[in-house]
Order: sequence, then C-alpha cells, then structure tokens
Amino acid sequence: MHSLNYIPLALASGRYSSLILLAYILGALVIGIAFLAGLMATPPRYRKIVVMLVTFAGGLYFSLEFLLPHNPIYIGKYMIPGSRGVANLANGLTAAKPSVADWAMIIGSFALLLGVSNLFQIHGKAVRKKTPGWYNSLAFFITFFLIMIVGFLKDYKLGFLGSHNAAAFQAGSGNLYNILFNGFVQSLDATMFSLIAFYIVSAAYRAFRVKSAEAALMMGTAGVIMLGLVPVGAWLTNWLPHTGFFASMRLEQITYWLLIWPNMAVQRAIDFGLGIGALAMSLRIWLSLERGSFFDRQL
Amino acid sequence: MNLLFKLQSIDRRILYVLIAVVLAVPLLKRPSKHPDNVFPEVRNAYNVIDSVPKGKIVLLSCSWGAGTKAENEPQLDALMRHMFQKHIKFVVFSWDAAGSEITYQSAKRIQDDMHAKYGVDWAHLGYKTGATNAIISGMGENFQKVMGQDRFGVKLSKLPAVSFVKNYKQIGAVVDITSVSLMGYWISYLTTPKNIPLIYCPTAVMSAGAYQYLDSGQLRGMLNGVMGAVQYETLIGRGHARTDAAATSWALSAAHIFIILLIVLGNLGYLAAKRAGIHTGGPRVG
Amino acid sequence: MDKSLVNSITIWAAALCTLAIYSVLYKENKFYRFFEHIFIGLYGGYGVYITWHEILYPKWWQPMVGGQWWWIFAAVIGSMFYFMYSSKHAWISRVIFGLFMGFAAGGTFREFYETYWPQMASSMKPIAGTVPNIINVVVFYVILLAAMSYFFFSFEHKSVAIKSTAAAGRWFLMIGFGAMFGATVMGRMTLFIGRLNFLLNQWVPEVQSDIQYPWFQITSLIALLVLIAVGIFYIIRNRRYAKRAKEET
Repeated sequence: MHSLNYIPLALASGRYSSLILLAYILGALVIGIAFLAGLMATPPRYRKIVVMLVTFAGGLYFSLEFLLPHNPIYIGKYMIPGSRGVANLANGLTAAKPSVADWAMIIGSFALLLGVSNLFQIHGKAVRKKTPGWYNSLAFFITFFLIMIVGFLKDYKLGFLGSHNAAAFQAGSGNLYNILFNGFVQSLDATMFSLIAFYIVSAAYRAFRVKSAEAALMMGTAGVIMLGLVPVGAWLTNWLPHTGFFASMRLEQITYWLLIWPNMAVQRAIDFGLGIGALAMSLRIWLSLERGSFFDRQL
Repeated sequence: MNLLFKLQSIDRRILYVLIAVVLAVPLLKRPSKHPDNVFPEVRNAYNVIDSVPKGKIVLLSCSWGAGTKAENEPQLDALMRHMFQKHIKFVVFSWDAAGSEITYQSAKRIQDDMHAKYGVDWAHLGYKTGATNAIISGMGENFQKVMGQDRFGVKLSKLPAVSFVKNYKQIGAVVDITSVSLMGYWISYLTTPKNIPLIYCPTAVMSAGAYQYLDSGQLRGMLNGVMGAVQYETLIGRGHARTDAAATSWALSAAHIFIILLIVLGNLGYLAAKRAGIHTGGPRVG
Repeated sequence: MDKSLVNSITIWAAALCTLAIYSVLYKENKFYRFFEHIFIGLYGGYGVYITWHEILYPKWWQPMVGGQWWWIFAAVIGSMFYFMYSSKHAWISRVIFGLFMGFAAGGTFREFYETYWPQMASSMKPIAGTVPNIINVVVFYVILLAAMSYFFFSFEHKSVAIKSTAAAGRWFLMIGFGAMFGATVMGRMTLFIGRLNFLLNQWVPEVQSDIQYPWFQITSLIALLVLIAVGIFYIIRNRRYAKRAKEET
C-alpha cells in the first residue's frame, strides 16, 4: 500500500521549483479555460464542423497508422519519391501510440463522475421531496460516501491523530473497507447476476415450447451440448469404446463435433455479416454521416 | 395426461426451491473427480503456457467482476497455478473497477498457496480504462510507459517480474479472462499483428462464438467457462483435488439434467393441453 | 479488530446480502429494494475511489505535480464531458465523445483486416484428406454458404436456388442458436452455483461455529422475535385492509 501525499508541490522534481511549477500549471489552466471559453463562444453554425473535424481527426490517427506503409517503397533500386516521408509519418504515429494510450486512459477516466452525477440527481430529488421509498435513496448516498471515504482513509495516515492512533485508525478503515467490499459489493454483484439462473429454470418449464421442427432442432442441439459439456454426458455414453469408429458416438465427441464444425460455420457466417455491418457503421460515424437521435441533435 | 396438464400451473417458486435442492447435493458432497476428457482447445491452451520461453512474460487480462466470479475465478486459479509451477512470470491487470480488487485477492490467495513472491514471480498492474484499442496497441510499443506502475504505485522498473518487459517482444502469450470479450481488440492490435499466442477464457455464454477464431488460429486455446477450468486442473495435476471447480462441474451436471427434464415435462404438458383442446399460452420458440 | 472477526462479519454480511436479493424471487419487497440501493451506492463510491487510486493519482496527479505541468490539459479536456449537463453548451460534450468515437471508428479498418482476413483464409479449406475430414469440410461449406445466403437482405429471394439455400440456412442457424442456448444455460447456472456454494460451504459452517456463542444466541432470538412481530403486524394489517375492501364493495 503506498502512502498518498496530498501536499503535492513538495514532490516537484529538481527541474522546477514549487512556485514555478505552480505557475506553469496555473498558466496552462488559464489557457485551457480560455480554450473552453472559446468553444462556448463558437457560433452555432460552426459547432457541427468542430465536432466533425475532431471525430475525423480521432479516426484519422488509427486509420493512417494502419494504412500507411511503414517502410519506403522501392521499384527495383529506385525509391518512390515521398515514400520515405510517408514511412516516417507512419512510424511516428506508431511511436506515439503509448502517449495516445496514456492520454486516452486519463481523459476517459475523467468521465467517472458522469454516471454518478445522474444518480445523484435522481436520488437527491427523491430525498428532497420525500417520495415513497426515499430512505432507499438516503441509503444510496450514505453507502456511496462511506466506501469512498473509507477507501481513501485506508491509504492515508492522519498524522494529526498521533502515530499510534493514526495506525490504528488506518487499520480500522482497512477492515471496514474489506467488510464493505467483500461482504457487500461482491456478494450483491454476484447475487444480482445469479438471479438469471432462476428465470432460466422458470422459462424452461413454462415458456420453452417446441412448436416447430426448427425449434426441435434447436432444442435438440442445446440438449446435446448441455449434456456433452458436463461430466454426466461422458458418463451416459461411457459404455462406448474410447477408440475406433464407435468412439465418435460418445456424447462428448458429438458435442465437440457440433461445436467445431456446424456451430463454427454458423458463427462465422453471422460474424461476416456483423463485420461488414460494423465496418460500414464505423465509416459512417468517422465521416459524421450517421443519422439518428444523438447525431441529429441540434448543436 | 391430466396430471401433466395440472403440473403446468405449478408455482414457479417451487421450481426455484427444487433447483436449489438439486444443486445443493453435489455442492455439499464436493466430489473431487475431475472429467476424464479434456477438449483439444483446453489442451492447446495448456501447451501454449507450457512452452512460453524463458525471458518472456504472460499477460493475464481480466475483464470480469464479482458477477461472473464463479466462472472466471477458477480459470484464473488454474492458469496461475500452472505458471507458478513452471516459474513463468506473468502480470495480471483488470479492465473492470471491482475486478481489480477481486483479481488481486484471488491471485494473492493462489500466490500464498503456491509460496510465490509478489513482484518477483508476478505483479498486479491494477485497473485500466479508456480507449481499449489505444492502450493495447500502446503497450505493444512501450509496455513500461503505458502500464507505468503496479496497483500499489510501484514503478514497473522496480519489479523483477516485469522490469525487463519493453514491448511486444517480451510478451510470450496473452490470456484474456473475460465476461465482456476484449478478444477482438487483442487480436487486432497485438496478438495477430505481432504473432503472440492468445488464449481465450470466456464465460460459457460467449464460448460458442469463439470457435471460428480457434479454427483460424487467431486463438490458440480456450477455457470454456468453469468446465474449461476443470479440464485445465486435470492437466496441471489437480485431477483429484477437492476444488470448487470440480464441485461446480458436478452441480452443473445435475442442473443440466434438471433443466432438460423441465423442458421435456413442460412440452409434454403443453401437448396434453393441446390434445384436450386447452390453450396454455407461452411464447413460440422458433 | 482481529482478522477472524473481520472475516466472520464479512461472511455474515455477504449472507445477509445474498438472502436479501434472493427474497425478490418470492415476491417484490422493501428488503430487496433497500439492498439494491445499497449496492448501487457502494458500487458507485467504489468506482470513484478505484479510478482515482489506480489511474488518475499515479498516471495524472503524480506526474503533473512532479514536473509534467502539461497534464493539466487532460483535466481541461476531461471536463468537456460535463458540459452535457448544460442546456446551452451541451454540444461541447459532443466534441469529446466524438473524439473517442473517432478513435473507435478509425480502428475498425485494422480490426476488420486482422479479424476477418484470417477468417476468410481459413474458410478456404481443401476438400481432401481422410474421409471424415472430407465430410467435415463439405458440411462446413454447405452450412457456411447456406447461413450466409440467409443474411442477403439487399435483394429479394426470388429464384428457387437462393430461396432454398436461405431456407436451409435458417435450419442450420438453429444449430448455432442451440449451441449458444446450451452454453448460456451452463454459464448462468454456474453463477447461481457460485452463490449456493458460498451459502452452503462458507456461511453454514460459520453459523455452526458461531452458534455456541451467547452473543449469537441472543441476537438470533431477538431477530426471530422481531420477525414474528413484523409477520403478525402484516397479517393483522392485511386482514384489516381485506375487511375494509369487502365493506366498501
């Protein structure tokens, strides 16, 4: 567990003194705010163009990095003019991947409060207006801040409590964090997911009706797969030999054959269709040609 | 016939109790017998890990959380034990927020059981999020820069398990233990372009859609849910150990027989009702 | 607090949460709703903590205050997400979403090539070798072509050849769907088996070991009395409502 130090400027490297670093950060922040102010002042007729250009630039990076040749192109002994420059550009784009990854990871992480703010709005309204079940929303807020605060406290020693008390407090926070995470978060998450099993049981008995030959084929295949993947399937046909022609009649062999030949062919056919559709859709999004409620919204 | 039709209106809560009873028996008995048959894709996965050369590491990419822990944790368990046995260095990282903590706890338990050492034999690189394609392609070019530090904030250069990894050339294999399928990103941005073997460990729900990748060689092996993990345990010499995976496999056997019986009974009841001229509803399947 | 006590409390908390969520299988109830909200709160708070702790702090804050002042621009760009809450400037959030969508879209060319080219290549299987292999390859070609022809929606299936191939494709698709269904049942059952395994092999032994302690006996007695009291209250209340409803009709 690393100890967090929230007196950040003391970590400034030898390259900058604390004050100069603070000045740089504040200066960059001012430039950033000016940039945002500029965006806010953009006339409506230019907004769509800005969005289109940024979307295109984002897609251009990965497209060019893939499509451009990474080596100069030769015809015999002669290099095509300009191909070295193109290759240098492509290699530069490849070399920039780690930095792009870093920036994408960090900028993407700043979206962490998006979903949370929506939840705060909904549950805050419920608590303020004391709608039926408002105590559930209160429980939401309490547990939200509890695990967050406890998580930070377990990593940070509160020096003002004194060394012994701080260590005990930190250990206590760690224990409470473990109870909240392992006892509550994990079990609630796992149990929510496991509810589907019950609905499958109910549906198997009350809803899965084999009303056609195609449905019979589907259910028959499902039955063979279900039995063949588990130990009981092998047990059912254990009386068949392990080698020879009749070995292929063993349930696990039939299951395996179904999976790697017919099922594989079907999945590939579906995948080809999906792949072409995805390519077309991506092209439309990249070139801002897509229409729909999100893309057609007034900017 | 009358009885079959009457059973159609059985309360669903009775079915819920029945499934719990059916599954409780093998879970309480905890049979240690593992299946004798091992599917070829599991054996191939084993061979890939077994033949990772010295001087290379294995990336265990985990995109699962508590919701699919019952399926993905046995896979992680079996693979980690194999790599500890063979002294293959590996790193674990998670694309799921809760999964970061869960995978670390699971891995630490296995580390303690196998008497391995954190930082020397393996490392946990924490939670990753953002543009997945950028991160995966970036780590292939400059692993230290993109991954940066482990989940405790220790720089990778200070961890013997991973300090030597510069780029894709030091990656011996990638294992994708997943409930959301990042396989497409691994295939496109790292494993196929750089010819690194990829082992896929999905939940069973996603496994049927992976066989075409096994056929094309883009996946070198697969562990199909908890059954794949059980078969892998057989290969690493735990074929008689009382593991959760083994108990689960027998519970699954009971569950599948129960489900098939329910489907058959339900349809027999439906036929009985149809013959009696009574409409029982239920959506059409097919 | 010693480790075994923490472990004990954790197991009891996990069992309580599990049974609370499973209570919805009997009937929708307030107990389930309460724990559902606790889950959302805990997961949200945990997500914020872990994102700061494992990404933003080590990869953004520490480098920035260590000298790499330009990382402040990441915060400025990241703040663009939150403009979606402004009615006047919501379009600014579209810029940053557009950037990420552009990343994803631009990567599709590589993804298409790396994913599907090998698939197409491996689809060209020679009809040669042993008799079983020849049969398998012929089955593969028939199913692949029939299933693909089913998805040709850009023209009408008029000719008998296309019509019958597409019809056969529909049949073969059922095999794929059957495989997916079988695998889905296996996957979902495993998740419930995981929870049942916890209840039977971790919680029940915990109950057995705690049952000897007076604190457990007293707490259980109090909990039982409270449950009985609540049960009696609801039975009386429901009878009164039923009586009132009968009088009104």
